[in-house]
Amino acid sequence: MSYVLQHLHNGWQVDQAILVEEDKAVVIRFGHDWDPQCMKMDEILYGIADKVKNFAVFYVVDISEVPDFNKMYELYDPCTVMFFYRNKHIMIDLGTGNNNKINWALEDKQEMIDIVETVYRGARKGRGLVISPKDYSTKYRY
Amino acid sequence: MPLPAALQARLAKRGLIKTDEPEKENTDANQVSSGKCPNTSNPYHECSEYCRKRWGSPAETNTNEAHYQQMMLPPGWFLVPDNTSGASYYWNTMTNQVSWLHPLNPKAQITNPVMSDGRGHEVMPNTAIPSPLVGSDEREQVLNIGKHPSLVKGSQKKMQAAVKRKQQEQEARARKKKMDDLDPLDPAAYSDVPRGTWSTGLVDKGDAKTGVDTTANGPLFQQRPYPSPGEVLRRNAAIKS
Repeated sequence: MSYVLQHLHNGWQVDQAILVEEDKAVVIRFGHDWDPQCMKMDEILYGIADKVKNFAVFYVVDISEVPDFNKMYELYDPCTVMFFYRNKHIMIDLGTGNNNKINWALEDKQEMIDIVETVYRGARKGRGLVISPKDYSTKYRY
Repeated sequence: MPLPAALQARLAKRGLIKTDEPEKENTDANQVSSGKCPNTSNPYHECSEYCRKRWGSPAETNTNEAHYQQMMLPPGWFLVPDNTSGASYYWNTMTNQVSWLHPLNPKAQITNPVMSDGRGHEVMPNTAIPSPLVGSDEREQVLNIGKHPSLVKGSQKKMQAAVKRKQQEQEARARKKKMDDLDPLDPAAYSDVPRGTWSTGLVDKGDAKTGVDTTANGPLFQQRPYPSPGEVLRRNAAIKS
């Protein structure tokens, strides 16, 4: 069984992809496939998709192809990862000040697994905001 | 021992001491001898209780009119007896204005005569019609014969000042209204931006920059979730329609 990152080609597909997942966190990467930062992120997402298949699914959305969410979700960064659970946006406190999304490319697969698991566990308990296992404020990044 | 003058006067008034009349009589003999209020020539003076008591002239309450009746009439004015009422009124043969009181009396209401057909019943105020007092300088001088010029001029000035004040008030009100229209701190007042309306500047659903709740602030600011994709699509559809 192979897990490739699925592309969603319009807003309705994005909506349905999130709606149909009853007991899984939905991770959506907004960006462009040709963007180097997105390529890096896709690599990590692709690498962990098999490991977290029990509690998370990954989708890729091209923000040029599907511009519906650009304004409402403030998708100004080249690469943005957002989490949803049962048609609800799950925020994650990464220490960056922006709790809505991961707007940079992670470098470590395990970190991404931890984040997805934290989101799933928090969302299962009804939390809208979970705290990232690692603080990604610039203090620790550099 | 001589008493103080004030005390002496009071005691004399109550009949406790005998007054030495001749001495006091001399001081204001001219006034007492005339037997009427010395302010009768002052058109702004109305005889009060004190005047009547002091000068003992209850019949002189009408002195103003009596005084004016003795005065010379301005040119063109004649005293005409009224057949219906029995009294007499003043009639200006030049302007055809009438007045019950002497035209120089500031209380006089100089009006147009009531029309014989019975339609012009309303009494025009003095200011509406050019009074004979308002005229060329030499005529005014003629009118002021036998009267202190400050009095005549003052009454005219008062009237004109009242009219002027009214106009100024209206102007000020109009100016204030105009000022109210535009707040000086409104950018439209000092720059060429267009005038805003009540809803200008409010975040409209249509031009909202974000899907999050823009009214949340403080500790809630970082806890505002985005709407779900379905909600976003619905909002986009609502904006388009």
